[in-house]
This record gives sequence, C-alpha cells and structure tokens, in this order.
Amino acid sequence: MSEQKKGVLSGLKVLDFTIALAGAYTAWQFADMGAEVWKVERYGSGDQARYWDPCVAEFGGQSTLFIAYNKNKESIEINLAKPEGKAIIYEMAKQADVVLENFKSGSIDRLGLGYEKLSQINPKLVFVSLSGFGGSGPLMKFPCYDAIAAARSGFAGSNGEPDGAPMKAGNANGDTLTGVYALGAALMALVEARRTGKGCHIDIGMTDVGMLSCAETIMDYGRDGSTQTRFGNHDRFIAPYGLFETRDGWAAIIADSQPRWASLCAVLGAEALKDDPRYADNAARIAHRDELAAKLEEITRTWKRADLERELLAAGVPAAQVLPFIESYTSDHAAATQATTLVHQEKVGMMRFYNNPLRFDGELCPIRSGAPLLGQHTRAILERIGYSAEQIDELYADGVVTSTLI
Amino acid sequence: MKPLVNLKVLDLTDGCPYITSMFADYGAEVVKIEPPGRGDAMRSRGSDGPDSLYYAYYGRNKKSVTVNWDDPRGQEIIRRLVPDTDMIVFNCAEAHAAERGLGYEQLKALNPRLVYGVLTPFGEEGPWKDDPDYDLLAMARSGLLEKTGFPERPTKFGFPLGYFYASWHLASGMLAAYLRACDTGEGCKVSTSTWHTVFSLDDTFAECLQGLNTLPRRLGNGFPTTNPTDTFKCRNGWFSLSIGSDDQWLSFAACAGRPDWGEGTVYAHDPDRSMKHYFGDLDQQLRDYFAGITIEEADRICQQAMVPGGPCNTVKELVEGNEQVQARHMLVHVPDPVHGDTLQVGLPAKFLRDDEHDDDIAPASPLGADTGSVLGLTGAELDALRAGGVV
Repeated sequence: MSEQKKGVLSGLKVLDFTIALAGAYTAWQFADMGAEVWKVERYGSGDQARYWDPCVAEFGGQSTLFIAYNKNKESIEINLAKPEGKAIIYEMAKQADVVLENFKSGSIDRLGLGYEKLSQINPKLVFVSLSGFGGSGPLMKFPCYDAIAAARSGFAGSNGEPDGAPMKAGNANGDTLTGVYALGAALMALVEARRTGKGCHIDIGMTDVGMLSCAETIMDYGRDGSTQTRFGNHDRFIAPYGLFETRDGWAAIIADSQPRWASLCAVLGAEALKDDPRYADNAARIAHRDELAAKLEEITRTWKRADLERELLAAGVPAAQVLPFIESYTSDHAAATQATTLVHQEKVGMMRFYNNPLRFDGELCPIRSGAPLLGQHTRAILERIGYSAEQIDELYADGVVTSTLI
Repeated sequence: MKPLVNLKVLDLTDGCPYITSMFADYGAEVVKIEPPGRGDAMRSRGSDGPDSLYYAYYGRNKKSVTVNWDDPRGQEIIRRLVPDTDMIVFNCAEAHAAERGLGYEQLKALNPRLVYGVLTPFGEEGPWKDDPDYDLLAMARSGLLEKTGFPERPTKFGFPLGYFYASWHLASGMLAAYLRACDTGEGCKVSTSTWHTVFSLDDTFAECLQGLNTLPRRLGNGFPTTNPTDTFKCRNGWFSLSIGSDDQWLSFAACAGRPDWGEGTVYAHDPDRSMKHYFGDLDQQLRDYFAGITIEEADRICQQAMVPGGPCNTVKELVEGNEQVQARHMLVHVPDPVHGDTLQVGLPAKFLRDDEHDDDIAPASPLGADTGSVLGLTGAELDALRAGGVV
C-alpha cells in the first residue's frame, strides 16, 4: 500500500475518550486522514451515541448516527473504575500522540487520567479537552448541548429576522464546528510538539467557537455601540443578495455589481425596477432593501427554481436553488465528485458513507472500515501495545476489558 | 503559547480570509498577496473604499504584499518566495493558478516540501465546478440551508458558515500534510470544496434516509425526537431549552414548580413525552410558561435543575458584563492604524502550557505595507515594478 493510500496521518495514534458528537467528529477526522484512533468505550455499554435514535433492527439495532460518526475507528472496551483498566490507559498514553476527551468538566482528572498524569508518562502528548463552555468561567460546571451553545454564543442570535426569533442551524452545527476547530488546534499543537518536544493541554469550548459568528457585529458594537445582530434573509451591505421564494421552493440570488443588477432585471423582465431611481445604485437599493426584495419576489414566485438558476447563471448573475437535501444527494454533481461511497459495515453489509471532503494530491481519504462494534478491537489493540495473549486472557477474565460486540 | 511560530504561509486567496486567519491567529507568519489597487475583496466589506472596519479583524496578524499575478513579472516574484515558504493557499481551482505558472507541479519543483492548499466552492471537477464562488450559493446547494428555519421559509445564516467549515477543514488538512512533510520531506496538494464540506456533515442521510426511511422537515429551533428542545419567548427575550433525558426533564419540572409535568403524569417519560404529548400539548404549555417569566428566571431554574438551557445572547449580552466571555478572553481590543481601538472576537483555542503571548494580536497591515520588506526590494527595482503595476 502506498503512503497516500494509508492516509496522510498514518502512524499517528489517537487515544480517544470522546462520546456523543463534537469530540467524536474530531476523532473521525483524524481517522479519515489515516491516524489510528483507539476509541476507549465504557465497559458494558460504550458511547451513549450507540443508543441514539434511530436504531435500526435490520442493522443489528445499531444507531445510524453512531455509525456515521465513527467510521475508520477502532473500539477498545475498558473498565476504567479498575486500577488495571487505568494501567492499560497509561500504556496507551506512552504510544499515543493525541488524547481527545469530552468528559464533564474535571471528571477525567478524578479518574486519574487527566493531563497532569498522562503528560508525566508522555510529555509530548497533545491533550484536547472539548466542552460546552470551556474549562473556566462561571458556566463551566453547567451542562451544555448544541442548542445551548448556539444560544449562548450568539450563533443563533445572528440568524433570522431582526424582529423574529433567533435561529439555530438545521443540524448540530455547534458540535461539528467545534469539532473541526479542535482538529485544527490539535494539529497545531502536534506541529509545536514536533519542534519543541513538548506537548500541551488544549481547552476548547463550544460557545467560544460559536462566538466567531459574531465577529463583525462585535466590531459594530465597538465602533458605535450598535447592537443589531441579525439582518434577515438578505445581505446587510449589498442588494439584491439573499433568498427569494419561487413557485416550487427558494433560490439564492446575488446581484453585487451594476452590470449584474441590469442582467437580473433583464432576465426577470423587470425593466421598470432597473429604471426606478429608488434602485439606481447599491446604496439606494440597500436603503430600500426589503421593499425591493418584495418586488423581486413577486416575479420570482412565478418561476420554477431550476429555470431561474439556469437563466441567471447563463446571464452571469450568481444564483443557486436552495436544494432540498435529497436533490443535492442525488445530483449529478454529487455522483461526479464521489461525494459518497460504499463501505462494509459490521452487521449491515455494504453501506453508503460520505467521503471526507478533503483530498490529498487529488485522492480521496480511504475508508478502511465502518464503525466498530463495542470492544471489537480490544484484543488487537492490547496486543499492539505489548500485552501478551495470557495477560489479555486474564484481563478479560477479571472483568477489566471485554468485547460486547453490539 | 503560539504553536505555529515557525510556520510560513503564502496566502493567495481573495475574499476568504478564514483559512489563513486560522494560521495567523496562532503564530504563523502569513504573507497575504493582494491585487494592487483594490486589495483583498474583504478590505471593502461594508464600505465604499478599501478601509473596511471588518478588515481590521480579517487581516489581523497578516502581512500585506501587493503583487499582480496575472502579470508574468508578478508570477516570477511569487515563485521567488516559494522556496522559503512552508505553505501556499489559493481559493481558485489549481488550473487557474497553473495557467499563471503557479500550479502544484510547477511550485513543487521549486520546493518539494511545499504544502499547496486549494479551496473551491464546488470542487475541481463535476458539473458545478465553474459556478460562482459565494458562501450563500454553496450553502444553498448543500441541503443544510433548506433544513434551517421555520417551516414557512428557510433562514439564511448571518455569517458565512460554509466558508468557516471549509476553511478550517482545509487548514487542518494542510497542517496534517505539513506534519508529514516534516517527516518525509515531501509536501502535497490538499484540496476541498465548501459544498462538499457542508454537505458531508449533514446528518440527514444517516438519520432520515437510512434510519427512518423519511426525508427531513424544517422545524425551526425544534427537534423531532427528544423534547422539549426549542427556543421560547420569555417576557424580556428568547431562551433555549434542550432536554436530553427523563432525569433532566423531571429535574426541570421540579425546579420550575410544575408537579403537573412531573413523575406520575403523562409527560414524565419518553418516548411518550416527546412523541405523544409534546407537539400540540406540552409545547404550548411551555410557551405559556416561559411567556410569564424572564430569561434571568429561566436561566436560574435551569442552573438549579442542572439541565441544558440558556438565553439566546446577542452582541449586547456578549459584550456588556458577560463574566463567562471575560473569563474566556473572548473579547480583545486591537489598536488599528486606520480605525484606532477596535473591539474584536478573541481566540477560541486555549493552549494551556503558559499564558505567554496568547492574546497578542498584531493589527492588519495596510494594503501593500510589507511589499518592500517581504520581497527584499528597494529603490529603483521596486519603483520600476510599481510603475508597471506589478506591485
């Protein structure tokens, strides 16, 4: 197998304590890039996401979300309440490059597996803690889910009509956005550790990452005390630039120059708007933004979105249909760019997964396996880190490790 | 600690500052190559001239060099910088750069360790590859935008979420490639698209298609299965509640003083609470309940109950006396040569080895301010290039 086929991070080892989504997403990205990800799971039950609905009978009762978030990882099922269980973690820490965890604040220290302890074993370790509010401040001890991070960070407050409700994203984007930010931070610390021989502890909070959504409105406040944070379905500075209703859905349309404005009017047959002094230039159009959007929408409502996209793009006006997921998923573009692929999944057979969006030298990140069954790789990982067959048998017999295989 | 202090990045992107901000905020030397005259598109964001307030943030910690790389002399200037850089990054197809002598193979010949990053809206192949590059258009085609908002209409994000994801993902891929280049001496091209990045983190496929044999619905701030999960209007603002288990619900009901929601009622346990008695019944009771209290009271109840809940903050609440934001150093003041003191969002990744220089932020460089020093040009040579419109 060539280096490329093994993945750009082949040889890297990740000791992964994460459950649920945000941290599991970070570990998933490491796994897709070829790192060996040892997913340490709770003895007897494993990651709580294994039980997230929908769990499908035909898939051996497995959660489809769990499967999606955990491909390319290996599962080792350890009883961390036992000293022998902790000893296994210490052995793994000797060989690992990265530790990921999202236990409740401070729990991992109480388990005796925190950064203080593991960095004594391996000073080069990059140890990433993910949490809702980060490891400091008055909120650190309170529970936080995606929707709460979206609320407290200003992420939800940035979306929607100014006089309407704040709006979170249609997926758990607070989790995944934090997951990808944490991935970047972990890789930075690996770069640093390579240069200096010293690892570090990284503290990432979902609400801190979510606050980047307010980067511009924070500057408005700093300039003149302005507190408006959401601007509806149209851009603040350029018009027309936003979402317009069509006969069969919505389309995004952007006319961000005078020639594009003229082309938009030509395609829509809206010569009267083009010649109206209220819409003469961008400043005038922004001053009458909502009224102009309403007039344009009267026309776009008579168009089918696919026709509108095609005609506008042909006229040089940036536009796209707001595609329902299924149309994006079944698009020729998704097929031509290999957005998904079939992979063998335990207890299921061949199953469709998203390919990682990253390509290295044009090659897709290989998917070596689907999501692991609980404890599927307990024995293999113990062998790899140096336990003998007899020692492993004893650990199984003593209830320190197991392979529940659900 | 600034982990990237030894990393050198050449930034040939335009209008997408998020990729190299990831590097610049954490210590890398980012040299931004900008078109002479107008500079990066973000320099005029929300402004008629090149002095946008927002660029004080988008350009922070970055150097600015103006080079016209449509001009062969400009291309040669960039090629001269390549041997001494670790990474170069574009937000156009490689083919566009290759026509200008700046393709991966061409630059690899000058520096085999080079990591070459490419972000495009839809990828470098496929029927959409030449479509225009706007965050909103890639989001529109991703499926996520259609799923976001109340049932009546989708809601546009107020910030370029697709660019955030794709930029941070690409930056991560480039760091991974750089780590390998440190070991093998060989760099590579790393590429991604905004559309694929957002599309591939949608749960719809796994959750709805594979799991429930259905298609997703747009539910506002609600959730189809685990309830209550929604945003409620209190007397003085919006409050988000996200109950994830029966224990959390029963604790909330107790602290809210509502035994009629507690143990022994039809609302006590799932799946009945979420699936049978939530929509059209309990949801309306909760709306009425929150309408009668303030967000401060709601917050206190959730904290007492130890359940996930919190106010929907906006800038005002984030900036004015927010102890959590202050404790996390998520607001910083950066003096800017054009705008004076600016208030900016801080750095979310906290590297806890020492606190040295963590919040040190250099202001954005004025357009072309570093041209002479970075290129090592002075006097007549620089004047000639300037007169020719190359720099």
